[in-house]
Order: sequence, then structure tokens, then C-alpha cells
Amino acid sequence: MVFSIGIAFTNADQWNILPAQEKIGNYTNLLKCATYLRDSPEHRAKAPQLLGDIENNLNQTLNYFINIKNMLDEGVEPIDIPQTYFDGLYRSARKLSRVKLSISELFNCSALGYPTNLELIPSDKLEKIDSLITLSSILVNGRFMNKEELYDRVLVGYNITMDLANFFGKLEHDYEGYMNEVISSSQSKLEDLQMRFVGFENFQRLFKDPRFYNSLYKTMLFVLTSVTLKMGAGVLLAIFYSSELVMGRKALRALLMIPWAMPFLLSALTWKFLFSPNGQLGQLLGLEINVREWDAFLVYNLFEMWLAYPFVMTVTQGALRGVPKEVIEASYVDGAGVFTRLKEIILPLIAKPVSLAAVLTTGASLQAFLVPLTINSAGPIGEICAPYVGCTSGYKNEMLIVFGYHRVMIDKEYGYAATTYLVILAIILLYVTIYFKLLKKTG
Amino acid sequence: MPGASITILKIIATIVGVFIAAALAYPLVYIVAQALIGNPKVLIISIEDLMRYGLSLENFVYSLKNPEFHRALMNTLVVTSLTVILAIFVIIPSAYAFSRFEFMGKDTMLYYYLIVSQAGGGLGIIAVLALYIFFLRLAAYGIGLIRIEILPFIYVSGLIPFQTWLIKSYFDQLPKELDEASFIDGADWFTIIFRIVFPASKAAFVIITLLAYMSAWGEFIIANIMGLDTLGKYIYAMAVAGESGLMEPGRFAAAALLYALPMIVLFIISQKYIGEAYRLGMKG
Repeated sequence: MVFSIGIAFTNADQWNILPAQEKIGNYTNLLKCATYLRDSPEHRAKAPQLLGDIENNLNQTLNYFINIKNMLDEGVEPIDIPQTYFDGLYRSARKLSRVKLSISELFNCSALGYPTNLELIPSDKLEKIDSLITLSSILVNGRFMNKEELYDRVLVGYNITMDLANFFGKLEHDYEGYMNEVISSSQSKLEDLQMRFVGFENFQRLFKDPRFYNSLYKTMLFVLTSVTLKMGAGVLLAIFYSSELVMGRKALRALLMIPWAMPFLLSALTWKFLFSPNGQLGQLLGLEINVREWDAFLVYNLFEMWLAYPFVMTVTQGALRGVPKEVIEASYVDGAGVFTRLKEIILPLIAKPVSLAAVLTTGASLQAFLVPLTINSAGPIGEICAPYVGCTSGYKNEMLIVFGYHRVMIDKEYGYAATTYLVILAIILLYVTIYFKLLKKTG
Repeated sequence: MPGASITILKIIATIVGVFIAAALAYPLVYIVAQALIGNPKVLIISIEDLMRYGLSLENFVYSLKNPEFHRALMNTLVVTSLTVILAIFVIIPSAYAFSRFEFMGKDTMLYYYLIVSQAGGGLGIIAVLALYIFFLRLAAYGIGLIRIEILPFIYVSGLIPFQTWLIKSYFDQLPKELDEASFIDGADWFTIIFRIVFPASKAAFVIITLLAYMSAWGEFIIANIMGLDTLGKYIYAMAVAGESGLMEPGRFAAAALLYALPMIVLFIISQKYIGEAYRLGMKG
């Protein structure tokens, strides 16, 4: 309990709830390594020299590419380009392979005593050097290629070289800055990996989350509609099946208790099958619960009604037993005055237990969870908008409890989820307080 | 002819009554038909489907032979029996204590139990989610608590508030003079508990066993949150939350019916007890 209140003020999520020591170690070492490379005088002296070499080589290579490209642009046939160009290109690219080796030696964090599987120099840059070398060895025979092919290859080579020259140029001219960049990015990664205190950030976020308002709205609406439906159905069925006019009442009443006797999971499976868009009732009624949010909402209401009417019915039946039989019978036989009599005689007599049942079942609707979850995971997914707050995408029929559940099970943002259910808890407690107030009043 | 008109009214009312009852019972008929259909991949849309593919028990046989079903069933049996035992050991003594003794914080605790048991299912889900996050955090320190054996403890904690009230009300109805008299007579605690309290509370054992069994067997969402394989979780994760259900509706309908059968039987047997129990609980 205390833990969950605590976690509501942190940024816990799936990355830091289970801190991976290995990952943290990698980032810590990279950070140390970059710091060392930045500050060690030996490396500060060596690096510019080596990087300067690379730059020279790259510039040479680039020049050859430009020359060949220019000649091709002028319409010179490949066969007429001097072989020396291609040979020069090849030689300058070959030199890069030696430099590449010294670079991986110089910037090798593991050799410096900071083992990490993260890269200080992005490995794609080193791979590009390799592909440049391969390309240049192919281009030795460039004179005998056809014009388009040669042009394409030269262009590729030119682009790679350009990119490498930019990267290493930057590294050479702003060696310290590059290392600082590495340091700050691994620092922020480390922070993401460690849970920390964020104060009221989560609460602020919750009150700016359109999904939260949507879920409040849907929940209230659901309480309104489903309570009306199930109370109406339960009370009417109880009155109807208490009537002497219906023969075989006992058997029929037992049949009506089926939704109560069926385990929830079986009912949920059945309703999912029946109301899926290609299920029997789904097709019959043309419901698209995975596309239209109100279709899904309607099915929730029907399902909730079906699940809960046996309870209401049983309570009402119990209350009706206290009503003299003659009253009910008379009200049916009289015909004209049926509803008046129902209203004036029967309803006042059963009002107390029935309203207690209503309060209880309101609690069930307020905490609707399994119904929307099992029918279609509280979908469909779509754009959710709330006035003054904005829009975002999410599950359109997320009732309150489902909202908290999805934050844990789908988003895996545990800190935020803890905040949401603290707020939901407050709402439930509010309901319980009202409920007990009412209970005391009715005695 | 008032007699004749009443007869006609009776017939109409009965027809309407049968019709409504049939409509409300329809989902059960449907799922049984779905489980019996000859082709497991067909979702029944009309009665013709049933004619075309015929009826067979193939789907039930398939489920019973399915190793995944077996494993989940074994887990469920372990969890269920542990839950029952644990519930009896925790709830009955504490309810007895609440009923017979005065101790510090008794009223506060009873009030707390009442609030929690009346607040509804959402509270339980929230508590379980919080517990799950807590377990994840503990796992980071090498304490792996998310295992099948943890489920009975969670289930029993969920049962405690309501059932303690229930059994307390039951004990309240037993004459207090009985154990007091024997206490004065010089009987020791052992004798009192085994000779007097136990025999008198047989019904309490039955109620707890039934309720604990049914709640542990029927539970699936907690197991699903924790990712532990029970029968309920298996069916839920595959067929209700997952897509396999609509791919092979026949097989999963059969599996769900097999899963539901013991609960339906128990529900019918326990109707009498549970009705009584709820009446007692409400009174408390």
C-alpha cells in the first residue's frame, strides 16, 4: 500500500522497474571511457594526428571521385578516362584500411579498462570505410564498365566519402565536443534506466490526459444506462414471474437464474462469440463492436443487464413475498388500472430493498471492468478528444478501472498507473461514503 | 365469462413468460451448440450451420487431450485446494475470535472489512495491480514471488473481508452459553475447540469450502495479470483476450464448458447454503 503510494510519485516504467545491471554497466563504462578520452593528454595529442590522417585520405579520395564524376558529366566515355585516376582512388582508399585499424585501437573502451558493448564511434561509420575500400577495388576496372553503371558507383562512392569526411572532420575539429555529446547522451540514458522521484508530475499528466476524462465520462454514462436497464429488467421480471397468471413459474424462475449460475468466463466467451461482428447476433443486429464505439457500448449494457438482473430479481422477489397476493392479482385482473396499482401499491412496498439493491449494483457499474475488457478490450482504438485538454489516441471505451489496468498491462508505465489508481481509489471511496450515508438513512 | 378470459390471459402470460425465459437462457443453449458442432473452426450463425456440420463430442475430446489444458488444469487444482485449506485456516479462527472475544481495534477492523467487502470488485483489481508492480520491483532485488503458489494467498486475502463477516454472523447465532458453560466446567481450550466449536460449525466449513473453491476456480483475471497459467487464465488469454477463440470457437467453447461444469454443479448444490449465507451476511 505504502509502496504503491510511493511509486505514484516516480517515473517507474518497464525499463526501470527491473533495472538491468548489465545495461547500466554498459552506459556507465561508456561514460567513463568518453570522459577519459576527453581528458587524457596522451589521447588528446594522438587523436588529432590520426584524425588528420583520415581526413587527408578522405579528401584525396573525394577529389578522385569528383574528377571522375566531372569527366563523366562532360560526356567523356569511361574508356577515355585515364587509368591513373582509378589507380589513385584505389591507393588512397587502401590507406584508409590501415587508419581504420588505428582508430578502433585508439577508441577501444574495453582495452582502456571500461568494457562496454556500446559504440563510441558508430560502427556504421567504420563499416562505410570498408565498403568504400571494396568499391574502389571494383572501380579499378572502371574504364571497362558501361557509362551508367560507372556513374552510379561513382556517385555512391562520392556520397559515402562525403559523409565520412563530415563525420571525421567534426570529430577532429571538435574532439572535446564530440566526447561531451557522448557523455551527456549516456547520462540521460542512465537516468531513464533508474527510477527517480518526479513529484506531482504524474498527477499533472493525469489531469491533462484526454483518456482520463473520456473514461470518467464513459463510466458515468455507463452507470446511468446500465443501472436503469438492469433495475428495470430485474424488477419487471420479478413482478411478472410472481403473477399467478404465469403457469410453471417455479421452473421458469429457475431458468431465469442461468446467468447467475454460469461462471463469468463462460458467459464472457459466449457473449464475445454471439456479438463479434461475424457472430450470430452481431450480424443479425449489424453491430460492429470493433469499429463503432457506441455499438460496443450497447453490447456492454446488454451484457451487464443480463449478468445482473438475477440479483435484482431475487431481491425484488424477496420483497414481493411481503406483498399480499390479492393485491397483485387484483391489479392484473382489473386491466385498466394495472400501472396505477403497480405504482401506488406494489412499488412503495418494495421500494426499500430495491433501492438498496440499486445502490449495490451502481457500485458494480461504477467499477465495470470485466465486461468491457472481455467483450472487446474496451475498444475500439481511435482518437479520443476532451474539451480544453486536446486529443490523443487510445481505447475509446476505457471505463475507470480498465483505464488503470491498461496503464499497467499495456503501457507498462507503472508510476503513472499507480497515480491513476490512487485517483480511482478516491472516486470509489467517495461512492462508498455516499453508500454508507444512504444505508444509515434507510436504516 | 370472467373464467374464460382469465384462462386466455393465463395462456398468453405463460407463453410470454416461456418466451422471455427462453430468450434469456439462449446464450447457454448457444454455447453448448457451439461446443458440440462437428467443425471446430465454424462460428455458428444459424441453425443450418448445425445441420451442415452435425453434432459431435470431438471438441470435448480434443480439449481433454490437449497438454496445455492438462497443465492449466493441474495448476488450477493445486491453487484451488490450497485456497480452500488456507481459507479455512485463516477465516474460521478469525471469525470465531471476532464473534467471541473483545480485543483492541476489533470494531475498526470489522468496519474496514465491511467497507472493503461492499466497495466492489474494482478495489480488488487495483490492489492486485499494485501488488503486481510491487512484485516486479521485488524481482529486481532477486526475490521472485510471481509463482503459482502465490495465487492462493492473493485469493484468500480477497475472500477474507466478506467471509469473515459471514462466518462471524454464523458464530453469533450459535449460543454463546455453550462454550462459556464448558469453559466454566473446566474444559481446556483443546476440548472446547474440538468437541464443541468444531461440530457446531460444520456449516461454516461447508460454506467456506464452497465459496473458496468457486472463487479460486472461477478466477482468471488475477492469474492473467500475474501471468500464471491456471485454467481460467488459459481460456481467457487464448479465447477471450486473444484471437484463437474466434479461430477455433468450437474447441474453446468446449474447453470453457468443461471448465464451467464443476462450478455450475457446485452452484446448484450450494444454492441453499449460499442463499442462507448471504441472508446471514446481510444481517451482519
